[in-house]
Formats: sequence, structure tokens, C-alpha cells
Amino acid sequence: MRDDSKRWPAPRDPGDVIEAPGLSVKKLHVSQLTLLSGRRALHQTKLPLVAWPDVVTSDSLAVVLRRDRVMEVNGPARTDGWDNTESLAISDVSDAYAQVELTGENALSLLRRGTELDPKIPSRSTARLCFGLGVSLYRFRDDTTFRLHVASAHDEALWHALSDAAKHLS
Amino acid sequence: MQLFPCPFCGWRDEREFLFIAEAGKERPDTTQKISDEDWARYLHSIRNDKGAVREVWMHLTCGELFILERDSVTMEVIGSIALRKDAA
Amino acid sequence: MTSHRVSGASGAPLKFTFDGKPYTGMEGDTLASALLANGVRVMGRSFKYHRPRGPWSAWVDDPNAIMTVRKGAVELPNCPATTTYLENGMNAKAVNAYPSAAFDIKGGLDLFHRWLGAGFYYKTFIWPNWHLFEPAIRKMAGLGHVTDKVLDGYSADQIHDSCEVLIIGGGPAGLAAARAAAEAGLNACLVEDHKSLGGGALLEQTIEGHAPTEWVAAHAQAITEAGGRIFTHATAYGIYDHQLVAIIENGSFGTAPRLRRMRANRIVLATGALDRPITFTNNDRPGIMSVTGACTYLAQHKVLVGRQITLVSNNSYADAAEAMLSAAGAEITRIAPTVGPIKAIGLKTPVALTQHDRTHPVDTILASGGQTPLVHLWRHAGGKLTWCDARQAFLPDSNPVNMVAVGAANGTFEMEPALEEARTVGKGDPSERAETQYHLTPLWPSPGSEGRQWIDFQHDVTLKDIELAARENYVSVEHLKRYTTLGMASDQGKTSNMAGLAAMATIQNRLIPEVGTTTFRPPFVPVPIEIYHGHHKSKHWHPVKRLALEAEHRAAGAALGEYGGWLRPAWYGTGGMAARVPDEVRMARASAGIFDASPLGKIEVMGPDAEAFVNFIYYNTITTLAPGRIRYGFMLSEGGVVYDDGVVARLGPERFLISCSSSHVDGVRTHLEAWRQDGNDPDRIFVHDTTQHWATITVTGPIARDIMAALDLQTDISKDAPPHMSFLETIWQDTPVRIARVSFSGDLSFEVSIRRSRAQDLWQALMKAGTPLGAGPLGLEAMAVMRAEKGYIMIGKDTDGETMPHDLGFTAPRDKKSTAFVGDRSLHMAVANDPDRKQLVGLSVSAGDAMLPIGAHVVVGAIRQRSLGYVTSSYVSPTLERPIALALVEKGASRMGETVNVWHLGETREAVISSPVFFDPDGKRLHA
Repeated sequence: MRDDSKRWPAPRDPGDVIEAPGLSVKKLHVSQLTLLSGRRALHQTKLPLVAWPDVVTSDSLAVVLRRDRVMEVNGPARTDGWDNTESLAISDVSDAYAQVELTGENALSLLRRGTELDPKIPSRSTARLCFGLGVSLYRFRDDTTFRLHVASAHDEALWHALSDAAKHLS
Repeated sequence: MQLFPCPFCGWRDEREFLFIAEAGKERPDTTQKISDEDWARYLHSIRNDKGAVREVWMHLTCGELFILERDSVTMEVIGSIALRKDAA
Repeated sequence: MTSHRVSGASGAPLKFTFDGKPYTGMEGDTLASALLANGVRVMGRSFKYHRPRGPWSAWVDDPNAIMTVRKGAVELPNCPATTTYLENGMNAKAVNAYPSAAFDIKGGLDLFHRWLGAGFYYKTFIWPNWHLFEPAIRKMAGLGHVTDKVLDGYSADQIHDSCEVLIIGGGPAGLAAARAAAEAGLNACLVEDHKSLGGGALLEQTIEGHAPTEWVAAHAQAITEAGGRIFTHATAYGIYDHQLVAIIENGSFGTAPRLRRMRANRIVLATGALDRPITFTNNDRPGIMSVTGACTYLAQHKVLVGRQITLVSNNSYADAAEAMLSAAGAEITRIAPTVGPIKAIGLKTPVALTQHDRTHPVDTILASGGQTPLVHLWRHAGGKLTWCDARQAFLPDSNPVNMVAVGAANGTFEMEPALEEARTVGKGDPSERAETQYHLTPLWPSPGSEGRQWIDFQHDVTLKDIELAARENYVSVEHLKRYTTLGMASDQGKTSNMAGLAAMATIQNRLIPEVGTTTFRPPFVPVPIEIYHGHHKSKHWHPVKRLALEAEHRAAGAALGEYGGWLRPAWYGTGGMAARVPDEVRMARASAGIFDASPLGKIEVMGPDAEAFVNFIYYNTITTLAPGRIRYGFMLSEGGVVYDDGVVARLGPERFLISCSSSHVDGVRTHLEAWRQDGNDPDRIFVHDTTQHWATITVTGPIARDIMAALDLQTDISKDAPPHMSFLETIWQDTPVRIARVSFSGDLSFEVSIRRSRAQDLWQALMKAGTPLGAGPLGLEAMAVMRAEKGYIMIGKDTDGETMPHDLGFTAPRDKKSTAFVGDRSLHMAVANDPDRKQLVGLSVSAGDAMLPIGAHVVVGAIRQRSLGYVTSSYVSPTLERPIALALVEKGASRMGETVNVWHLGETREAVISSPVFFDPDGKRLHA
């Protein structure tokens, strides 16, 4: 095995930002992420559901991932495991995903470098591939601000993809 | 680059999908006696039809397993059917 | 000068050189038009015979003028002179010529053409011997040279886009269609490959009563005002499935292009048509050009390509050309090529053209054998073609989904019907192809002719080569193409395919449509490979997953390597792998190693049917697993082959935690999802992949318990609490932690998991507790050695695509498990019962010997050796101080103690087959 420690730069400072014309990207801190799965999971969360291209304004929300799964963001504390009364599978995944926010008139254009994305084409799930990485993507606050959850171990990979793509903005 | 319709998410880029199997095969009940031939047919026989085909695909990002009907020659997508009985 | 700039040209002067000589061109020029304006004719040499060549045309169909262009620090090979826009300070050089295109020392190769005909190089494979010719052929093959300099910042942008109507081609039909579409309120995009719009419109006197430039400008403005988008200097080079159009957007020289992946609901093809060359003797000479090419140089660049021009044409298109060129001052003679064979005289420029017994003095020959609609993109999209006798051309036939051709691309060659057709189609209405006034006399290559007549200019395929291919029975056009390399040059047969297949049709007495065309494939024009990968290159091709503890590992001097998609510590400290790995093994065996196991899978399976489901997924029986207990087991493929190994913990009656291999997490999750939804009730089973929420640190070694005891874990971890293969959840510093008593090393081990954001705290606490006791960080390489010492397998390394669990000694479920499980029936097929199956064994050699090479074969037989299997893992064990190896060997389990031969790269050594468990076979240390 060769030593690749120099090939891969050390992880960035979490305070780093990407600034480009019409775009800024920063990392967000999330206090709580919880996976809820169940046949009726989409109806059982009390938080507002988010699909594509919904624009949400609340910091607490339930991101729709699939037919029977949501991820509560900054939601109530729950106990991990199988909830027999509610028929819900519950897992704390607060550290499983990193979150970044893109904002600016070029934010959509930047994302379109990584995924075939169109605000005119709705989708019931926010889960998609972006730059080849699995993400959950939705609009937040206004239609030029986007939030992305990406697997923690791919946080650096997504960041590099976004900053490389941002070099093409003008 | 093809677009496939996930029954839940709608149209998405083909890179989000994984082919699982041809549709229509049922796993034999392996607690009963099954001949070598029947098991081998289940394992290995594929139709590989030219033209309209029915296949099981997974939408990797949302995990949905569904039937995709498409044309293996023209790449035209005919439609998709959820495997969930009560899927809406 | 024969070719020259006429009056009326305006534009900033641009200085450049060609083959070392300085010239001046003009803003808006291509390299080819600038050289023609300077009277330069010879711009390249052909690929095989090094014949002098000048441009045949003015745009993408030119096969001849190919250059290496340098500007400043940027050098790019194989730039077509006809499509490379001139910039100040460019240095261009013909690619296949030395020292220059005009005086090429390999020009003499042309004399050997009789021995270099079609397939000559295939024939050297058969006789006398390819290796005699190989060095010379390899040296001659290929055009241009790639420099070893990587261009700074040369990284293609890639963007996804969409529109309702995409119009490809910014000539008159394209502009009319785009305007109609945009004004009908559709989201329309127009793509034009030149820097400026207009195309064929610029060759007209007037369009709809306006000067062409005014008409073009008015249309462009109308399109933009109606909300349409226009991309110039951008080529739609491929149409892929579901109306995805690949568009390359070019910038200035040396800048990386952009790939626009345009998804269009509807595509309007307005790509125009090309002039076909006429096949006659010496038709490849510089100064023989297409009629349209000559008109384009005049209209777009104010360059008149010759003074004394013979216009050889079989079609009505030439009338307007004649008028246009004579108005610019050329002296034109019309020759009908259909009334008798013609021949060009002259080497680097034509001096005469002969027909029958007449000789016409010329300095330039313009040829048109008819119009060929550009249907490449039509075919990419799966559209059919139909042969039109009146036009002697293949035309678009039944439409591919949502695609229509208009104008010359559709065989509608006249302006008025083309515009009408384009407007109708642009706004979305159906249109019938109009009758044409265009007429021509059929004219195709006539086999058996005298002299050398060129079919493919760039690859030097002559009519005689086609005849030879036919004699040797390469008659299918696809075989013809491969045998002669017809149409395989960088122009992809834009000028040669029609002539080639027409020649083959004549030779075989068949009709052109019966012979058919070869397959049209993207890209329509050469594009840099860069455009396909964009950002996805080098380390971004498949980015590694990063550990929460990476900073700690780096601080501890870790060498980092990629293992199963994760960047992980291979070993720690200086001194290199060979020194550090044995030290780490000895440390872990003597005191303890602290190991980052975070990538281990943590997939939770929950729900009322979870137990039955996990029992079905695993080879091993899971129903008997009690909460708080852990079991080692295999997942099989339905073919019975071991797919993954790992432990499964039961957290509760309806909750399991699957700890699959670190590199298999995505695969196992998909495997579980597929079985969950197909064949089970997905409302009663749920699969959560929580792998990345958790960081896992393993403490392994005789003093592991002492280190653990130093943490305030609020639980009893003294002997047998928890026992080996048990699982418990507790709290450390107000944070939940999970402790699993499992071992990969054969020593007492604790796997401690904590949420990722607290991993650093836990790591530091363990290091603080362990360091004074002689413990330290343990890398993956040392871990691999410790596994092998215990005979613990690594899936995919110590198993292959045939290994079943009973080959590894795990037989009980195969014999006894009564419920169904994935792969069960396959374990009882004839192949599974074969007594000669390869089984996992250990191989031992003497203490002082070198280790056995991985991949070495265990062989039997003295003369005709046969492989019984191979070495899968091999190390020098620092613990046992001798080499150890694992191997898969036929009937291995029944060969214990047998001495076998191990063969590797011609060398044979002896080894003794042993149990794969080399260290602590009784497992005393596990329960220490």
C-alpha cells in the first residue's frame, strides 16, 4: 500500500466558504436529524413535509426521502429503535449527514452542473444524485437558496465538486 | 442518457437507477423439494427479449423497487408500475 | 498568388505563422481562410502516402488541413484549420509533415503506394512477419503529437440544461424555425457552430427581399426578444437517449470547452447539406475544392480561392456559385463531369484539367457531385433514412421521437420552401417535404477507371482500394470500412462515405440503398476527451470517503491509503511500511492496538418481520440469537457464493444491527432493500443505514480491558461482562456508546462506537489511557496480518466467485437450517457437492524462507503441471516469526500435512498444507 496522505488534502476548516459571482456556499450546523420509516411515516411526522421544489421557511422540517421515510431536521427528540405503537422505525442520524447551504442567483446554475435539476419538474422525494453523490436537496427560505444533506464521509468530496464547479461561474 | 420514471419520485436521470432482474420470476419455495433443473432455470434463465421488456429496477436514491416497462431496442420507456400494492 | 483576399474585407489584422513562416490574417478568419488569403495552398499531408493536400472545404467536412497549433504556453494537436479561428500569435504546423507541408521528406512514400494498399498492414500479420513492419508502421501511425505538459486550468465545465425546442443549425432554416418557435411562446434554443449566424444565408444575394446580413440580424434579434436563447461557436455533436443533446461550447484557443447536456422536448434539425467530392484521377490535389467551400470563403472571409477556375458539377447548385465567383473576378469554365472521365494535372496545385482530348488550363478546380444532407444527428437519435432518386441522396425518413429535419438537412434545398417548412415545424406544426426544383445527373465513382482516384482523402483510400476490398470479399459496408479504414479518419467520412458505398454498390451491381450506410455515431466533430469527464477526473473520479478521525491519524503520522472506498490509516509513523507494520502487530499482541474501524457497516433492520427477514438473508440461523448477543455469519448470493461476512447483533426483539464489511455497505444495503421489497412485506421490515452516524474504535490486545477500564463507562466491563460475542449500550461523558465484544485479531477486543462528532474525544481518551501501558494506534496493514494469523478471511481476497461457506469450514446451516435463506438451494447443486472443490487452507514454509507470493499456484504433476488452487494472502508473521499464507486448494481440508509444490513465474517451491489458523488455535486469548 502506498502512502496517499499527500494526494488527499487534509479536511477543510468547517468555517470555509465558497464565494463566486452570484453564489455563496457555507456549511451549516444541524442539531438533530432523525430517520422515521413506516408505512405512514409521511403522515406521522408533525413537521412540515418538504419535497421538490417546495420552498420551506421553518428550521424544523421533515425532508421526504422515499415513500415510507422522512428525515426530521431539527425535530423533537425520539428514542431509537422500533416503535411498536406507532409502527415506526427510528434512528438518530444527526452525524451521518453534513449540511451545506447554497445561496445566490447562480446557485441553481451551480447545482445543474452536478444534476439534471429543474424547478418546473416536481418530485415527491428530495433524494437525488448530485455530482455523483447521494444527497437530499431542497429549497429553503427563497427560490435561490438551497440546502443539501450529504453523507458525512462525502462532505469533502461534495465540497470539492462545488468549489470546482463554482470556478466556471461568471 | 435515459430518463426513467420512479413511481414515487417521477422522472430521473438513469444514473440514479439499478437494474435488479427481469420481472416475472418467482423464487421457488426452498423448503420444498426443487429439482436441479428448476432451480437452475430460476438462477440463470433470462429472456433478454428484443423489444418490449418488463424489468425490476431500483431507484437507488429513494430505494423504491418497481417494474419498468421499456423497449430494449428503441430505449423508449413505456411506463413504470410500483410493486407496492397500495402505492399511490 | 492564386487564392487571395478581395476588396471589401475589414477586420483587425492578426499575425501568425504556419510551418515557421510569418503571415497576417484578419479578425474572423479561420486558419484555413487566412492561409488561403496569403496564397498558401498546401496545408497538410495525407496520412499514408504523405501526398500534399489543401483544404477541400471551409468547415467541418474538410479532411485535409490538420495542424498542431501553439499559442503562448498552450499547444494543441490535430486542430482542423477550417474550424480553428485565427488568433494573434498563433503558430501552426501541419501534423503529418516534416519539415513542412510544402516540402515533406516522407513525400516519397507515395511511390510505394502499390505495396501500401488497403489491408496491407493486416496482411503483414499473415506474411511475411508483422514484427518486421511493426516498428516502422507504429512510427508512421497517428497524427499529431501530444505534449507532456498539462494545461493549467484546462477543465471542462459541464452543465445540464433543458428547453422545449432545440434548433440545431443557425442557417436560414434554423433561424426561421427558431424565430417561429420563440414567437409561438416556446422555450427555444438555437445552436450554431460558427461564431456568427447565417450559414447558407450568406451565400445568397437576397433573402425575402433583404440583404442576407440584415435578414440574419433581424431574425437573431427577434429570437432573443421572444425569450429564445442562441448559442454560437457551439456544436451539437451527439444525440443520446431520450432527447439528450450534447453541445460543445467553444471558447478562445486553449480554453477548455463547456459541455451543455441539453434535454429538449423537441429537436429541429437544420444542419444543412454538404457538397460531395467527385471521384476523378488526382482529385485529391491542393486547389481542388468544393463549390460550397469556395463560396463560403468568399462570403464569410472575402477570400477568392482562385483566378482561373474550372467548375465541375453535375447539379443545378453550381449556377449561383458561378455567378457569385465571377462577380468577384474569377474566370470560370464549366465542365460537365458526366460526359466523360476527367483528370487533374499538377502536383501541389492544378495546372490543367483534361477531359476526352481537351486540356483546360486552370489554377483551381471546384467540384460538386451533389448535395448530401447532414443526417448524422438524425441517425444518432435512431431516425431512419430513405433514398431519394431525384436528389441522389439519403433523406430523413420516419421521425425519431420528437425530432424533425428542415431545410437542406431534409433535402429541401431551395430557400423559399425551406423557410416555409422551417417556420411550420418551428412552431410545432407538421410539415410535408416539398417537391424540389433542384436537379442533378447521377454521378458516382466508376470502378475500373484509370489512375488513382481518391475516396477518403485523409486516410488515403482510393477507388482501387475499394475494388480490392470487394475482390477480397469485404463487401458489407461495415467490413469495407474496417478493412480500408474508409471514413475512420477524424472527419468520420463526411466527404468519403457516400462515394465509398456508391463505389461498392456499382462493383456489386446493387443499388445504393441496398448497400446502405455505416453507422453514424457521436461525436459529429472531434471533441477533446476532457469534455466527457469534466470535474470527474483524477481523484474526483471516485472520491474517497473521509473518516471523522482523519485529523487525529494525520497528527499521529499515519500513512493513508484507500481501502474499500475509504481513506484509512495504513500504518503510523516513519520508517516505512516494512518496519512499521511488524512493530504494530507486536505492540497489539503484547499490549494493545487502537484501531479506527469506523467504516464497518451499521445497518439496522427493524420491524415485526425483522427477525424472519434477517434469518432469510443470512446463511446462519438468526432466530436463535438472543437480544444483546452477536453472531458471525455470511450473506450469500442466490448462487450460494459467499457475498459478505460480518457480525449481526440483536438489539431487541424487533431490531438487528448488521455489521457488514467496510467496503460492502452500499452493496449490502441495496441487497437488503431488494429482498425487502421483492418477496417480503416492506411494511413490516425497515432498513436504516446508520453507518456514517457512528465512529467505531476498536481496542484489541491483552491489556484491552485495562484501557477500557480507564474510561468511565458506567458499566461493568470486568471479565465476562460483557462476554465474547455480546453487545451492550451505555453512556460515556453523557453520550450514548455501543460496545461490541467481537474480535478480528484473535485477541481480547472491544469495539466501541460513538456518534461521529464525538469520535475525537473518545480517540483521545483511549490514547491517553493506552499510551502509558504501551498501546498505540494500529493501521490496516497490521490488522490484515493479525487476521491472517488467525485464519480470518477477507471476502474477495481469501474467497473468489465460487467460494461457498462449506469451503471455508462453515457447514452446519447447509446441513441443518430448515428455513429458507438466500442461496440455500444452490448449496446442494452438483457443483456444490463436487468433492474437488477448492477449500481454505494454510500454507507453511520454513522460518527462514521467503514468503510465498500471492497468486502463486499450488500445482501437481511433474511434466504437465495442473493448478490445484492459489495463494490468497501471504505475510511474514511478526508473532510467529515465520511466513504464513492462506490458499484455496482443491480438497484442501483433506490434505492437512501434505507437502505440495507452489509455482510462481517459473519457480517452484515446497510448502506444507496446514490449518488456516496459525495462531492461538484454541482461542484462549479471545476470552482472556
